[in-house]
Amino acid sequence: MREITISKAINEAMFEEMRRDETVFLMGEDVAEAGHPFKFYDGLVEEFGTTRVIDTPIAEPGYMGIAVGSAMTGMRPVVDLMFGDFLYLVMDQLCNQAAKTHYMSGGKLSVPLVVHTNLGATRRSAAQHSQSLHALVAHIPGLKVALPSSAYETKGLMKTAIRDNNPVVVFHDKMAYQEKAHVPEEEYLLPFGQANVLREGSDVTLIGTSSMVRVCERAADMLAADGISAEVIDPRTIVPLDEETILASVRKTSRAIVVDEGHQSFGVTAEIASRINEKAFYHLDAPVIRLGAMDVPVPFSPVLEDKTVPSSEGVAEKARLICSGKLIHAL
Amino acid sequence: MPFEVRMPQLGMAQESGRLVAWLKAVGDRVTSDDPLMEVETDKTTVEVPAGADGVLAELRVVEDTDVAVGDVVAVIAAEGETVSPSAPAAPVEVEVLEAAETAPAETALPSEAPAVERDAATEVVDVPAPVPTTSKAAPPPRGTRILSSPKARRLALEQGVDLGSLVASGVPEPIHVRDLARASVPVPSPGPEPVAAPSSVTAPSLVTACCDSSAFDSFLTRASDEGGLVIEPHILVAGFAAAALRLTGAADQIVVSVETATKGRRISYLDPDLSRPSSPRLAAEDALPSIQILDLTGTRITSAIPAGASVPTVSIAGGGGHAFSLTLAFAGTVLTMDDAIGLLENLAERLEAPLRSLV
Repeated sequence: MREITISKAINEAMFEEMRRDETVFLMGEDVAEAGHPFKFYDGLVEEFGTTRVIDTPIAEPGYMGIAVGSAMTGMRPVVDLMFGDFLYLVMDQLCNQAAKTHYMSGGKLSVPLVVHTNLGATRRSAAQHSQSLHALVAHIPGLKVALPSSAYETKGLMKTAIRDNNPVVVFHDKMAYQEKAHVPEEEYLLPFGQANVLREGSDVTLIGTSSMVRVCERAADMLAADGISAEVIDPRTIVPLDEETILASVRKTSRAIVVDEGHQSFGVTAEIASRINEKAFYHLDAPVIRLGAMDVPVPFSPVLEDKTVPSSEGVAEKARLICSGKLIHAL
Repeated sequence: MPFEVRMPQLGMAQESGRLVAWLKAVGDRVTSDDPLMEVETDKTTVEVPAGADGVLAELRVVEDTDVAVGDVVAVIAAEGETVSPSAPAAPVEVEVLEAAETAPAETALPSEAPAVERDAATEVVDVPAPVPTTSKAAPPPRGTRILSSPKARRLALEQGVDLGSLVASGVPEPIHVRDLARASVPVPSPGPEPVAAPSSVTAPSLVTACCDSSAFDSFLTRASDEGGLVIEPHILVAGFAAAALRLTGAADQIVVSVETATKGRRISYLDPDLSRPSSPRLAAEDALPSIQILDLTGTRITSAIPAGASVPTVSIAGGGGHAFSLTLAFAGTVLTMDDAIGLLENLAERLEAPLRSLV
C-alpha cells in the first residue's frame, strides 16, 4: 500500500469531500492564494475557486461567526484555525452558538461545522502557539473532538467529520504533518467513537491520544525488551469516547497509563483514568497513572519545552513501576 | 488524629533509608521542627524533623533498621490525645524482627508500650468529661487494613483466600494478583502447628492466657460513678474480642456470640468493636458467630471449652479483684496457631488497658 503524509491526507480528504458535496467550503487565514504555512490546502483554490476556498482577514471571531451562520443555513463549512491556541478567540461562536444551536432550536437547526486545527508543543513556538486545548472543547456538550494520530486516521476521520451534522473540532499534531503512513487509494471513512488497538499486550494498557500514540508505541517497544507486554490504544476521538475498548483492555491487563499532551490537571488523562476507576475498579491491580503535559505555560527554551511533554522513557518508567508490585501512592 | 511519622524520601531513586538513631524518646514533647531521627541513605546521613507538634507516643522501628520509604516509623500524639494501640504494618514488623532476630518474636517494641499507656491514662484524667465512650464508632486502628490492589481483594474474596494469613505467612504488602498464587500452595506455618491429626475428629487447639483485671474493673466502676454509664462487662469483652479477631484479617463483619454462665443466656453482637459499648448492635438470630465467648466471671470455674466447637471459642474467667484467665479453643482449619496466639495476646492487652482500646 502507498504511504502518504498527514498533510497529503488532509489535502485528499478536502478534495474528495469538496468534489462530493458542493456545500462544503473552506475558510481561514492563508488557506487560498497566500499558501498555508502547513501546505495542506495546496491546489484547492485552483480547482474550487475563491468562493469555496476563502482567505479571511486575521479575525477569528468574525469568520467563525460566518461559518456557524452558514452551517445553520445549509452549508458545510470547514474552518481552519492555524493554531489551536486561537480557539480562545472563538469560544462564544463555537461553545455558545455552534454547540447549542441544535439543542436550543429543538432540533430544527443543526451546525455541520468542522473546525480544523492543531495541538502539540516542541515546535519552539512559545506559550501562545504550542498549547493542546482539546480538553477545553471536549468539556462542552454538543461538540465532537477527533484526534487523528496518523495519515490513515487523518483522512478517515476528516471525511467523517465533514459529513457529520454536528460541530466537530479536529486536532492534528502540528509536529506530525510530514509523518507518513499507509493510506488506501480507495475511499474510506473511519467511524467516530471507535478506538484503535495498535498492539495487543497482557501486562499494561497504554492509552495515548494524538501525538502521544507514537510515544506510547515507543514505550511499548522499550517495555517489550524488559519482558513487559504493553497494549497500546488510540481512542481516535475523545468525544465520543470508545469506553468499551479501553475498559475491555484494562480488564485484561489490570493496569493502565493514560497519556495525552494536554495539561495534566483537569484534562483528558483525568477523564479517562476516572472512567477506568469507576467502571473497572475491581479489575485494577495498580493505580491508574496519568501522564499529561506539565501544568505550566509551554516554555520557549527548547531544553525546558521538551521536558514539559510526556516522553516514551517516562511512560516506560511508570509502566515498570506499576508492574513491579511496589507500594505506590501510599503517602 | 495522631500524626504518623514516615520514612522520608531523601533522594530521587531512594527506596529505603536506614534509621540510624532516635533523637527523642517516647513521652518526649516535640515540635514540628525538632530533629526526631537520624536517617542514612546511600549518599548522606541527615537529621529528620518530627513534622508535627505533640508528644512522641510510639516508636515503631528500632535503631539500625532499614525502612522502606513511606513506612510509618513513629507516632506523635497531640496534647491530650491518646493513641489507639498500634499493630505495625506488616513490612515494618518483618524488618523489626529481622533486625532483632534473636529476640522472641513478640509484638514490636514491647518495652515502649507501657509508656504510651501511662501517657494515655494521665492525659485522660485531665479531660473534663471522662465519659469513656468512643466519640465516634471506633474505626479499626490504622495500619491494620491490609494493603491490596482492588483486583487482588476481589479475587481473594472469590477464591476464599484470606489476605491476613497471606501477610502473616510473609507475603509483603501491598498484595497483588500474583501474590494470591502463593496462597494456593500450602505455606508451611512458621508457628507450632498442632500435631497433625485427621482434621475432622480432632480435639481443638488451645491457647491460654492470664492477665490483670484491675484496670478493667476500675474502668467499669468509673464509667458508672463518674459517667453514669452502666456497661455490661461482657459487651466490653465482646468488643475487645472482635477488635482482636479483626487484626487477624477476619471478615469485614464480625459476629460475637456471648454466653454468660451466671445468667445462662446467649446474645450475639454485630461488630461490637465498632459500636458504643453502651448501645451495642445485636446480630441477626441466625447469624453465624465469628467467635464465641463463654463468660465465666463470677464463678469458680477457670476454663470451660465445649467439645466440637466449629468457631473459635474464648472462655474468660476471674475478674472482680482476681486476674482474668483466658482460654482460646480453635480448629486448625479456622485459625493458625500464630493467629490464635496473636488474638489472645491482643485480647489480654485490651482487657488490661480498656481505656486505650476504646479511646
